[in-house]
Amino acid sequence: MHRRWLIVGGGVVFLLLASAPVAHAVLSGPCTGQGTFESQGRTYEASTSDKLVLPAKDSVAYTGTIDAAQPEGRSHRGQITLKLPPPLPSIAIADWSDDDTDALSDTGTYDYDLPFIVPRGVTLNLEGEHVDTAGTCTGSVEVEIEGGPFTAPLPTVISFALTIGAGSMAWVAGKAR
Amino acid sequence: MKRRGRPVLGAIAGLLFGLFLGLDLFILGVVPLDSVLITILVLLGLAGGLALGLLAPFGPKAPTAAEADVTAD
Repeated sequence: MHRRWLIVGGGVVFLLLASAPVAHAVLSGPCTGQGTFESQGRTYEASTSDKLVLPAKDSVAYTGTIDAAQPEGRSHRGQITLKLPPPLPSIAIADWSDDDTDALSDTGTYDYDLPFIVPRGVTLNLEGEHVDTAGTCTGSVEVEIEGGPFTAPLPTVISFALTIGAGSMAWVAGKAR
Repeated sequence: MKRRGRPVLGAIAGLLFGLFLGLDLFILGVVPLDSVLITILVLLGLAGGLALGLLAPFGPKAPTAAEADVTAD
């Protein structure tokens, strides 16, 4: 019996932690970055951008740099993830790594296509990190994906169905055995 | 007193109900992700579901077997 309550209590603690407020438009470390979204024709700086309104699918021409006193023989890794509200999982947008590099900058074009479970028209948190021998950079920015709750209706319908299902279960719990 | 409801099921279902209700409100753009309302909804769902299971059953009391026999006679 006590174990059941422990599970319920653990779930509550998890939810409280998962619902903690997120940081807004922060970039720390010796890095700079910018990206130009092809469909919008707009360039966003990682250090200066506040809330971004982005398409669900696009090509991004990016540039990233890092300051390093000794650039030779470094290793690095990094990733960009889009945080979704619990219980939805985070979405991995991009990741990179290299065990031996001298490069202090990188440019290229990256195509992305967000999955259907990403809610449209609401504020989400995009987080990134670059862990390098020369230093670690972390950043986060608020983003909103273009559209509304019924632009890609599947997540909205699924969420409504889960709410009704959980409500029905709670109602059954109030019935006599 | 023997419990006739399902408090553990009620607590879990209520918690999920609050969580998904918060998700609905977020998806519809009613509340932001960092709103404390989402946490409150989860806690209220948990408490409500638990209370539902502990205080069950609701509504008119079902006749006992003896009462049913009397009615049949």
